[in-house]
Amino acid sequence: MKPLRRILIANRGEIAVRILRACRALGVEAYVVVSEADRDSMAARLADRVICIGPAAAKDSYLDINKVVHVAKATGCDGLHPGYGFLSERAELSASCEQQGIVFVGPQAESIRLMGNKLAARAFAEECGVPVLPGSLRVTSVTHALELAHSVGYPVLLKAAAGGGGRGMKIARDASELETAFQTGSAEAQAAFGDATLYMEHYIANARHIEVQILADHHGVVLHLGERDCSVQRRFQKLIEEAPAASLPLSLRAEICASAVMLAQKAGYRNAGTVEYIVDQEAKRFYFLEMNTRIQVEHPVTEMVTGVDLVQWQIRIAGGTPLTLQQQDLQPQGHAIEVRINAESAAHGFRPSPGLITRWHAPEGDGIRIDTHCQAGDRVSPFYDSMLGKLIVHAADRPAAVRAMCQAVAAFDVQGIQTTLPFLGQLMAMPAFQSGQINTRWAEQVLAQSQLNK
Amino acid sequence: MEPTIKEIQEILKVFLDSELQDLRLEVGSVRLAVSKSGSLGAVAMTPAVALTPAVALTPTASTTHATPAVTAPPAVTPAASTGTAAAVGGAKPAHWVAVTATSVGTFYRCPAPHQPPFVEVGAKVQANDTLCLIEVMKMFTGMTSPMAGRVAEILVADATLVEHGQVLMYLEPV
Repeated sequence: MKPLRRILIANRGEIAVRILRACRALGVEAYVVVSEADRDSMAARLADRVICIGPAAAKDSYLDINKVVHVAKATGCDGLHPGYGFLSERAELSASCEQQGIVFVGPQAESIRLMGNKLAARAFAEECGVPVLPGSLRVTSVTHALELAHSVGYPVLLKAAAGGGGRGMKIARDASELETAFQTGSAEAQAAFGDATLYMEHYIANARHIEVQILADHHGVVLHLGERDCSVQRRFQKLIEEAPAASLPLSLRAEICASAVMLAQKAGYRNAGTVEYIVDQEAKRFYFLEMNTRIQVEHPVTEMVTGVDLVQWQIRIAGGTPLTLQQQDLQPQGHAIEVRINAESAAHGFRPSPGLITRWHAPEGDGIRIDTHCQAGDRVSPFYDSMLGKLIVHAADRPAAVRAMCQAVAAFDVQGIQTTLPFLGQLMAMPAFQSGQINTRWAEQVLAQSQLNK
Repeated sequence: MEPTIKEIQEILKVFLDSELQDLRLEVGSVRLAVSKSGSLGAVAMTPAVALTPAVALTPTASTTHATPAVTAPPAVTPAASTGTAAAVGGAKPAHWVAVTATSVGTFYRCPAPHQPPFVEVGAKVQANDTLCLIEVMKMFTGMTSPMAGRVAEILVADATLVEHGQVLMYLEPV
């Protein structure tokens, strides 16, 4: 194995730009594939070479494994970075790269396959002695679901076996809700993943979403870079992420991080990954949720508090470099918060708001970081997800970080399109958020409340 | 009755293993002309394998001369600015018709290595004649002429990567 010298970035948007910057810092050439809709994107403007691989529709461009791998091979790239979303968790891409002698910047196909099937991952975690939520392996019918719910205990959560991103996920508080939830959940799972299989877990009402960032090299070293709290969600989509998780008792924190490292070790995992957990705030217990086998949207909060560039390490590890970081040096310094800025109108049910950005004035200052692909004059295309970028702040402690974020959100001026910035500013200003008295349902409760007050 | 791609592959296999030097075959609208010595000469105006754009030819390992390897193009051929005629080679006569790549992939002018190209500049083509192949991971897709005409200009070198929508050649209607 040798260090990579030319990487094909098989993604778009802010993460393509983020990977490009990591390549620059390492002196690695960065080629980027684009669809026809992204010919003038920021990633395209910055890349060493741009290859248009298809029309705007993602299935004919960013989701076409053969095109992406062929381009990597034909342009002499020795590595391929999949980013997040699109092909990043498709085992076939990792396998195809390997067959063609291209280094996939991510885990091996087997790891992606194991963790990609949520049922297999759950079984694996159980085998490793990591606690999983009371639940089932597979729900075959409405009758079966009703029987299972009786033993699992309401409320229950139905999830897609092949899933992710909240699609196919349904909460049922009683038997009548469960019937509807089963039908809509399996239909959604079929539509989104081509696999209607659902499984059931007990739903913890007062829960936190905690996840642990890990890095694993080719030499058996697995490190954790602490945890993130991503409890502020809407429809299972993260809105705000923080590091470290201020609410977590220290002993629980150490236990969760150790279990993530152990899981990655037993799976023979390589490169960057994230193990997600649900923490029951009342029982002070944690449960394995799933493992994401890619870089995540919210990775910057971990980078801010640890000072470690995760994307650069992904590239180094892929090139065979051993992890030279030491676990004891990875204590979080201060507190970081990230908000995801989407081109959506919160006032209209988070309706997408594509169009021309006429003004883009981002805040600046100590501890402020913005990961974006947008600037004034850019057109937000309706073809892809609506994320415009991420605003991250880093301060000495959580109260200071919250204050800095409130100021930064207020100073962020985007015109021409609707964004979620005003809504994020409202959440940030709420006493419950500032005091940390929140759970995974909090943002939706805030929204429901604001609807009632209209 | 049209032969299937598999049948054509079988025919090529039998031909390769035989002592025959040249083979010409016409079944329905498919005309096949192959030569081991590359000496088909004037008759090579007929495309060796006429494919419609939707048909992809996946050669088996045994038909070695039909599987061009993926080759890295020289690093000095950045293809970042393409898509319009003007971007590629200045203004073209208004009546010329651009043939653009229907897919990203490796562009091949010949049906197989050491065989004459499908078309040369100046060649007359009929509608649906194969002009070139585009390969994506060993899947070969023939690009056919949209009309009868003459090949006015070929802009891309053989065995180089072309982008989706890149102008490959110009045809002049006749």
